[in-house]
Amino acid sequence: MIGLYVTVPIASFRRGAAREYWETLPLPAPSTVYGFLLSMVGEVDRERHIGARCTAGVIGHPHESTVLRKLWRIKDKKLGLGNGANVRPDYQELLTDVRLVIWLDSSEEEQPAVGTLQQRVAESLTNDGRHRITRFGGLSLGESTHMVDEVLPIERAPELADESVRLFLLDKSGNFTLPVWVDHVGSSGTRNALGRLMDANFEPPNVERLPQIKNPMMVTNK
Amino acid sequence: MSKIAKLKTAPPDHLEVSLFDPEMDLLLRAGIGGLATTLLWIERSIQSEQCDDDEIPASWVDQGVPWKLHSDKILLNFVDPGKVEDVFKPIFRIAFGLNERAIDLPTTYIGKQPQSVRINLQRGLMLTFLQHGKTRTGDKKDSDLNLDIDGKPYQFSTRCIDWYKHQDGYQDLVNKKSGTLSKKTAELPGTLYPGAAVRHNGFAGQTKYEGSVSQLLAAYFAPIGTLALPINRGSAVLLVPDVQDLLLFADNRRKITPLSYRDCLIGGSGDAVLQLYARLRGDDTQQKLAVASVTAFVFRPTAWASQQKSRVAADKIEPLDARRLEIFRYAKDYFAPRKASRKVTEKTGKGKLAKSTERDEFFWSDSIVRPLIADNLAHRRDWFAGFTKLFVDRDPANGKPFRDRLPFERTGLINMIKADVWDKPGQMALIGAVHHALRGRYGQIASETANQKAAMQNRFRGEYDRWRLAFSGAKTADQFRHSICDLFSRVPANKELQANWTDVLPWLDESGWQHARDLALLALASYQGKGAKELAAVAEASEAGDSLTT
Repeated sequence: MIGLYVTVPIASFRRGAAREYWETLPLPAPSTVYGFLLSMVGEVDRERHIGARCTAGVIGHPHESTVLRKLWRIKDKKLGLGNGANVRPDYQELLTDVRLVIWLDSSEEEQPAVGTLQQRVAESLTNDGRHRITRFGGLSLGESTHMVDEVLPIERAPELADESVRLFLLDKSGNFTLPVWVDHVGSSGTRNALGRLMDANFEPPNVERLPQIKNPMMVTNK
Repeated sequence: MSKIAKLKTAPPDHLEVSLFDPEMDLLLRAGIGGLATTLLWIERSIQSEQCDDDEIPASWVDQGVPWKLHSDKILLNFVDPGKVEDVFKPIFRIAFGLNERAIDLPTTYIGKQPQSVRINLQRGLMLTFLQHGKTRTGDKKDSDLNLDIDGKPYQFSTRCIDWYKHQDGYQDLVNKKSGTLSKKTAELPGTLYPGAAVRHNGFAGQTKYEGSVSQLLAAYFAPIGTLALPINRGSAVLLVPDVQDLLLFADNRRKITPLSYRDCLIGGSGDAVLQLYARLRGDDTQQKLAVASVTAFVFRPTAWASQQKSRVAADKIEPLDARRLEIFRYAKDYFAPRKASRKVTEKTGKGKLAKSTERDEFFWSDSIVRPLIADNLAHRRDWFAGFTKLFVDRDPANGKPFRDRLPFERTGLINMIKADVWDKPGQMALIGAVHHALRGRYGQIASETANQKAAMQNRFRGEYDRWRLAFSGAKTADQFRHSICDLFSRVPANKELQANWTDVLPWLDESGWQHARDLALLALASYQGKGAKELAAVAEASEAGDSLTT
């Protein structure tokens, strides 16, 4: 298992059902964390590291605010994106000064030729490994405009002893569901994990309590 | 080519709806709570032999109900898997009723629900779940209704309804051809899941919000598991409880429903949630609540979608600790909705036959301070935080400044200030110091304008406006310090300030000046004595002038 310390100055982790008033989750969902890690190692195939387990914990309480912003949609197919009726305003909740702990475990991942996600992430944090990565765009978490400020191995994070962290962990009688696989077009392909936000320390959690990335369509096809 | 025979699987003979299914989110879990409430209500009706023979099938009375309720799931059994409708239809018919052409959810209350409560709850549903005209049939316009409350005629406006979508919801759960349980994913439109709209209307088929049959069933029962209350004619709050135990929730759901029209009056999301907790607790403040938290979603028209009520805010509010609960109880007592009346002049006939008749029309006027206090307590802030907004903001419902209504809150504010609501040193002293200074200023004006009533009133009003604008207009610590020191300097021998100067001083620094500004304006609004009485009389005269002519 590998632990990361990640900071994002401004972020928003939208709830799936919030299609008007973009409400934010308190922390990124496992599917968002997985996407961030894929982007970090320059992986464009989102099915490459299925089976990996990952979760996020939020340090402290990021400040929450609401802004009015422009959103695009496709109401009129004849018009271009973001033109006329294809754009509208809406409210969006933002989190500022987001500091996260991310845990990743690849022990149940099928061994791809390129190495497991855990290996690739660990390599990307070394000077040599970073130069070997081919990727594009700035590294973001959540929306593409919400840029990541720093990513460090948890051992090299600033002093965290006095901080509290709320970690999303699996719990069969939990009260919080977060997606582990997102259907980006509709919603029928989205799959969630049931868990709970728990007060934790900065030690690695039990692997079995980390949500696992699964693609429901692949399971069905098999 | 050989034909591959299609394997026929037996239709499902049961449906399990689990509270801890990962695909069930907050609203759907509340919906499962609503379903459990309905099923428990039916079980108890059968046990107490108070059931209506037309509504409940005889087989349920004789052989037992076709479901099993657990604390974490509901198991529905279909004796005949080809006639699933036989199970669902009676449940939907009982849950979603109509009474005097208004939506009636009988499983959410005990005994008889007052009509004024019913029509108010219906308005809440029409501003959240049942917004769209196609989801209901009935009158196209609101009609006036006169109801007697405590012997006085109150006028209500209501929309008469003959049918609404939830009544026939069971049809969506059934495969129309075979009569078996539907296996397809189904759309969860805004009627069932407010806020989950189609993402791109240009690709409505692909981007709609969908769910399984158990999610659909839960979504249909969301109006029973939740509570929708109108804030005013155009906006509403949908309260979604976090259900943790189905049996506990089903047993307590009826306590959430307001019992009287007065209980239906809310001023915002924090107010609505704290009142819900208060109803759930009753008199026992130590009682374990049936819900872990309540999330309030606010719906109102926006400038870009004025036809519909969009979701514009979401707030998760956890139960209050004992201290905050005590402060909220004070707020509920001192800022309760008040009965008010206005003169309505009605003209009949034309020319020489024209006649004017005047009658009293009664209405409830709700407090503007209680919602502010409730919001502050819900977010763990000082109860008076943001009091400045009541001097600056306007009521979105009618565009009038909130400050015009503050004179009616004066008695409540005085009682609140005198109550045990102060936890930090210097807060009470600052209010006392401002009161002392105002008393001195009004006294000076009174002595300068003796026997000149009109001039005295003008000077009083000018003095009030001067400090109102100075405090509410202060944008920096320096500006505020300048204003309040200006007030203090005009009246000598401020004993309150002299005795507590060291406690007051920290409130005037960079980190505390906004609290001090709220306190200074709270003192201005709660000042009683010479000057305040004259200003209150002017405000009351102004409200009386707002009489209606029809």
